[in-house]
Amino acid sequence: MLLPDKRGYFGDFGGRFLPETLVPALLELEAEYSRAKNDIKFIRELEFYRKNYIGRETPLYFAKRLTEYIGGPKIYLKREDLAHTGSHKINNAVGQALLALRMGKKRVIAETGAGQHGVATATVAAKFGLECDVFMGEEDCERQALNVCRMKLLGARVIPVGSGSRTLKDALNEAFRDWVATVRHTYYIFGTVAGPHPYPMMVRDFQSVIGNEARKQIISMEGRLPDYLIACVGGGSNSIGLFHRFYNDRKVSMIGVEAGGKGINSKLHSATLSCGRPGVLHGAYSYMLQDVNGQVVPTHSIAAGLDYPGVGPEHSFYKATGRAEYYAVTDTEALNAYHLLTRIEGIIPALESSHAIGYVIKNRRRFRKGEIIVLNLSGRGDKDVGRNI
Amino acid sequence: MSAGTYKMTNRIDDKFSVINGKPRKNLIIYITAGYPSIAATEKLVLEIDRAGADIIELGVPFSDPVADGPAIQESSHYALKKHVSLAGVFKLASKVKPKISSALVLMGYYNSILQYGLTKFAGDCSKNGIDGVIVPDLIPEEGGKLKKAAGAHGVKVIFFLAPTSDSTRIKMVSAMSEGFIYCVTVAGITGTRSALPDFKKYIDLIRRFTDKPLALGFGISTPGMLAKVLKHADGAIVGSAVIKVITASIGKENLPGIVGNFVSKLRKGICNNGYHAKKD
Ligand SMILES: Cc1ncc(COP(=O)(O)O)c(C=O)c1O
Repeated sequence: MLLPDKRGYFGDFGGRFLPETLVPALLELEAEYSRAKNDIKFIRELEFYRKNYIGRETPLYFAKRLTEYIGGPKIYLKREDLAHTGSHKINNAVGQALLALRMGKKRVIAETGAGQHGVATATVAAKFGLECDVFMGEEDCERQALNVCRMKLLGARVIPVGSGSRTLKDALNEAFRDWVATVRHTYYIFGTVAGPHPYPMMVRDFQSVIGNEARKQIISMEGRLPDYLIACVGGGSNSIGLFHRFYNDRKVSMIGVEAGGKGINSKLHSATLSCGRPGVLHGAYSYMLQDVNGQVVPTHSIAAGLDYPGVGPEHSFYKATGRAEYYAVTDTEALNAYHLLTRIEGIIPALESSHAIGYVIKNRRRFRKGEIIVLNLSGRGDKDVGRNI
Repeated sequence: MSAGTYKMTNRIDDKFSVINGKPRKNLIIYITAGYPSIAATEKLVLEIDRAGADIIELGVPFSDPVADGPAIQESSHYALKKHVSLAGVFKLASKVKPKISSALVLMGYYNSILQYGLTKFAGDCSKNGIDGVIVPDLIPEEGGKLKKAAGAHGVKVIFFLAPTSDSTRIKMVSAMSEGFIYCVTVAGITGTRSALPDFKKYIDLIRRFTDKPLALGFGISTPGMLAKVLKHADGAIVGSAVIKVITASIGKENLPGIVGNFVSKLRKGICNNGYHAKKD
């Protein structure tokens, strides 16, 4: 089964819901991407930058003390925090920047929540000499100030977004509004597996390097496939990146961990798949957090990168078909995990990734001795230092 | 007449009826329903109708209006704070429709309609005097379901063309769009602009592929612009400029009158240029 279909659907989810003005650009992008992914020159180029610029492959690290602490399953961490710029976001940014160059675009834009995608985009823009504007909610600019500095240092313009909830959703709105007006010369480096077709497919493909490597690595280290894959889910790119290669390995369970904020009954969370229902937001039909009238509701998470009321359509498909399970972990549980991993493994995880670790801690009884977990450590936590002690 | 009791004939085709071999010129006015209140909108619709609008577009407020600039965004959020919903807009429509001669069109984002239920939506449009719907984030490829539901109730679905649309898309949109085609003047979001780009070539290109009436919108704010637009197009849509007039007059007793005056001035711009634009 090859998904998405030609119209960008993963089962019932996906598609293209956005102003006509942008459609020609998306068709052009789709065509260019399908040429590029079969072009040996593009493949080699991507390979080259992955190895020499991003620093792939990233290690699959056996977390011995975390394993002892949990006292059951063996836990392996896929170290995306060690990728250049400190998260998985660079995998996608490099791929799309190469596409932007092929398409002759001189300016790139991006939305960002935690600032990691913004930093990744600013980085490739600096590297390839592209003009770069990053849209970021005002609240996120405050809580991820380090990344704002990094983007500026890299030569990008950071445009604070003051509308709506002043977070990732609103940054996306503003990026789309910019793109509608600048589409002729601007490439939109979309940061996750949401949005209109072909973004969910394309970003997944660029992030699938995570699972491709992890699958080989675990087989060589353990001689078998893992029992569980666990990753946090904001828009869904690091999780799909890990899951995708294992899709047909039916015995491998997949667990997506969403932001439970102050609890999923508190209305202050971003647990889209756990608590939402399907609708159209930001270009695709997928699960979203909305009221009875279809208005998007405010979200909350301590992790800016998870604080988003939508999710990529492929996850909605995984949920609907039961291929993956989705759970929520609260701010407090994530914070505890953040401290724990830092203290016992000497790895400061991003607050986003801390949700995945929090899930394992909270549900340690679910797992048995001898089982193997591959957990995606999507990013490092320097950006979060100082605001959550 | 109360909702659901009068048989409705769709007014959009009438508005674009052919005079001397060409469709009538139409003034299309957008306002956000519930801005600054449902009661005010009711008065505004009557006043805008009286001032000479041919079609009135009622905006259904949405939390994340990506196709809209600041003026309409803010009006939308304002209305949402007052809990304006699609059901409320229908109620408003059924009240005003019997009192106006303008066609009434809803403009709303797809999720509002989807969550309401396409079939129920189409039925309620028809019951409450809505002649057509405009959905800025719905393209022909995804519009089949809504069009089918709406078609069963005699409600037209109007699709968009943009300056970026090529001949393939022009053909596709022309085939799908009913009543007229909403042609955006510029690649961009709604909002007033100090000048309009040269759109003659764009209109000429579209005309090579379709006979359907073409209405131009986005950025049109003055009688002068309107006259220019209607030289080539069959309709002109004014939105943000009207919203700005409303914003400037919120709290004033004669808000409907002020907005009506603004629309009258736009109207005169059309008549003065000798187009077949008289109110029926
Ligand atoms: C480190 C890290 N992990 C996860 C995410 C969430 O995004 P996604 O679900 O697309 O991986 C972000 C987003 O900013 C991030 O920075």
